[in-house]
Amino acid sequence: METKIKQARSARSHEPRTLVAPTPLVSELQAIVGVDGVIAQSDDLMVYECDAYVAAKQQPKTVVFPTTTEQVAAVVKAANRHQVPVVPRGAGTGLAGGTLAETDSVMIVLSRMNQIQEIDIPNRCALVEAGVVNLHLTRAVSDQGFCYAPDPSSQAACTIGGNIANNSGGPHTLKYGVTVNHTLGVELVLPNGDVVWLGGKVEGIPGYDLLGPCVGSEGTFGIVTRAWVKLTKLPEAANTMLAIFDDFDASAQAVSNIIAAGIIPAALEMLDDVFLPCIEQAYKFGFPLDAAAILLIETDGLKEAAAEEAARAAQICTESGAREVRTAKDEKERKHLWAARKGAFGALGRTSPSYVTQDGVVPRSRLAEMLKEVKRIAQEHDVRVANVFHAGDGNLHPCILFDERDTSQLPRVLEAGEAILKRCIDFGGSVTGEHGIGVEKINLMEYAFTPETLGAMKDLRNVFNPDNLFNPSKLLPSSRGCIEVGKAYQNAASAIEKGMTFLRRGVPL
Amino acid sequence: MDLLQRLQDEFKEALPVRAAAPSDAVDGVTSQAVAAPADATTAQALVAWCGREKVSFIPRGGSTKLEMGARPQSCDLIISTENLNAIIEHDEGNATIAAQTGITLAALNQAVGEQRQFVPLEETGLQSGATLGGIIATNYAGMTRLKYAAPRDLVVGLHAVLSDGRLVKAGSKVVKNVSGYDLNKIFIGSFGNLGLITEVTIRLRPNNAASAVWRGQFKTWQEAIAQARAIFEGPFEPTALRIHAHSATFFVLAQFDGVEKAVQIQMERLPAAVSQDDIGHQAGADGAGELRLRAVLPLQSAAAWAQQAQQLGADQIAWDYGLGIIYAIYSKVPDNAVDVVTKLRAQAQAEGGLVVVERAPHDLKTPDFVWGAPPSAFALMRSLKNTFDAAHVCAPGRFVGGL
Repeated sequence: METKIKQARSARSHEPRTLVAPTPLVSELQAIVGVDGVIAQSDDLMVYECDAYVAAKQQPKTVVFPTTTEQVAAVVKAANRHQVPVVPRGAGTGLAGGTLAETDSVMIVLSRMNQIQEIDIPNRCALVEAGVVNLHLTRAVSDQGFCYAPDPSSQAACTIGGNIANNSGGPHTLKYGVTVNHTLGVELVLPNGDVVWLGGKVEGIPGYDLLGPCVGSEGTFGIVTRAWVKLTKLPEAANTMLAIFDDFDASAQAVSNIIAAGIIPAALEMLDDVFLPCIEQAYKFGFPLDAAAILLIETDGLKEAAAEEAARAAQICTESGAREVRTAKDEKERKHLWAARKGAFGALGRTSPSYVTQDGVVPRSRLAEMLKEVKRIAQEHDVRVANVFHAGDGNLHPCILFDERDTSQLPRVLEAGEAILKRCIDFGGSVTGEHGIGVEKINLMEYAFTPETLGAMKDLRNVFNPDNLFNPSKLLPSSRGCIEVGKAYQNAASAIEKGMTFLRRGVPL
Repeated sequence: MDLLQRLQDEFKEALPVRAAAPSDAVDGVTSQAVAAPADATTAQALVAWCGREKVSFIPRGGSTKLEMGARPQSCDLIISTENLNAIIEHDEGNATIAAQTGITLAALNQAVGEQRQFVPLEETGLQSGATLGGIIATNYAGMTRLKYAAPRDLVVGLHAVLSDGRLVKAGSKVVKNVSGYDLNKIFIGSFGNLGLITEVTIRLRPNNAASAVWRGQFKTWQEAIAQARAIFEGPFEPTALRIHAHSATFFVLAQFDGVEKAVQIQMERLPAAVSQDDIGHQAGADGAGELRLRAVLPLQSAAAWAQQAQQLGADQIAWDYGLGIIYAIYSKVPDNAVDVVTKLRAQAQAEGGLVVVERAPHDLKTPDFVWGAPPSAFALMRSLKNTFDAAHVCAPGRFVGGL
């Protein structure tokens, strides 16, 4: 399979690059952003054929790297004149194919709009360009005792603009909220090229809350070029603990018990016995290799409050059957623990050549029950599942492991994934807590929502994007629902045939 | 045929309905009838009927915030949610409750209190009887918003019926959800302008083990601000933090909640308190006044604005420090009310802030006087209104730009 890829690449490299005359559209785009701001050659475009959801691939026709809002608007208008779809992209760490190109599309990559334009500590907010990397913002304010609270595992790479498009979460959103709770306003280039602000530097601007649904709209409302985001005061103290369980169900019950006891930890994460050896090998923390599951619990706030909540959470774990509760002894150990947690997906490659991860959510009261369902579904479909999740939010990331060299596995993997997500909905939950719908879960929208509600969503999209030229075929199913399902499977199957690797790199969540 | 008769003919005994009284008027606009559907299906049918028959309506809960919003263009019918007051599901372990929107906050809190939980919403300072629906429709948050956030951040699901008869089911009961567009948000704070919200699912919080209020008295703005700032920036985690200025007397109120030891330590870090009165009653300014403005301002511009409001005749100022929200309260409407509002609004806008008029005499309450000029995204808002309420019967004229 490796050979096939190499052959394909070498075939492409024979194409004489200089002989390809720029199309009229490419010339227009070059006039807007400069020659070095446009890619239109097939082999250069390969990087942009998918995001971290690699089951479906499609090269854009052109990739553009604007540096200002005005350039973005001009590019959008040029694309409109040529009636080609526009697909926005940040760092490409999305897990649901939200930045998958359309045929003939112009992809607008925001990575060159990476300036933090203003940091306002007294008002606890910052004005950033969409291409600013999440962690860079936190680093810029941490000396002053602040952070940008949403912390997806991909935070070292993912951008604020991408976070806004997906309403990204992360381990600490349990206490601090997701991206929408930290976005004050966005500058949005509409699909017609107009520029508007939704929200602003202060909260409560009169009118419908269009900012709310814009966050998480996966690039279907337009392109966010700048945003005012909140900065969060770092807590005085944080206590991080590891609760070790010999029984998987007991660990899930402990999560429900902690929430029911009225404790709001800063983070409450769970990893199972498939993950543990992988992250231990990768991070050498001293994780117990014989445990069935561990909970990673962090409480924070004022010193006294964090300590008392930690003690109560530890006691509940013990009462729920934990064999041991360890506390990180210093900041170094705490950071080590979090590095291991955030690198969990990357470490999974040690046990399985490939996997697909799901992002279902269930009510916290039904976590233990749902985990049993995941096991049952895995057995029924004869697949192995590794579990890591934001347990305190009820947000599951079951990873279905497989080997793409055995093509018979893939249909079972996809079916198991769908069965898990459908159970999440049956339990009153959601098919995605933080990764988004993209193209990956589009066929489940009709299972999750009534036709009337989907119709209202479509109406809302049409307010922003009436011609559906902006990231079309994402998020909302078209009227050809059944065909879409079939296509998702076909894409996945053809990806296997081409020897592409499923989500093998360090995948964020 | 009059509206009351038409409603009776259409819905028979399924819909409790009566003729409107003068006291049912909204901003002086009288309606013909008051209908109080007792179940969600009837509510949906009623709103659909209003859309078909072009009957304008305003949803009404406990009437505690009915004074907010511009004077309606018309209001043929009041849809009262008084009979839509059932609890659908209290999921204690998930820390959420789903209820119909006519239930009062007090009743909700009573229901969840048995499980040592509470609904982190507030009534306005002076009035009780606020309903879940009214709080959500106005996105009303009091001073505990500093810790507990606003309805916008607490609602995880809702049902709304549109004037074209559609039932929209936004979100679900889970606390984290990015499947599709978050339709919750456009209804929260929309003042009944897009449809009738019939059911809401909202996050709950665990009861606090301890709670304390600190209250300090100061002689100048500077001293009061310095104290509030010390609490906001120092080793404190206040649930609420308010500067309350009453002519030349300044109070700083700070509320602390949580584990006992932490509450105690925060109180000990502060100088001796003036008294321990309940902060809610002390600072009931939110609901007061004959003319009441609500400004939102960046911190560095807030003090100057508050002082200007005082100079222009405000008797009381309530400044939620850390939120940038300032209420300017006039116990009597000044003769030059329009000038006062125009001046204060211009000053706020010049600093990147805004002013909304929460209470004013009916005849002044044009959309631009109440809300200010429409924002840059107004064309999108109008398009949304035209799509979700094509019949223009949902609280017409109440919202920004006369939507």
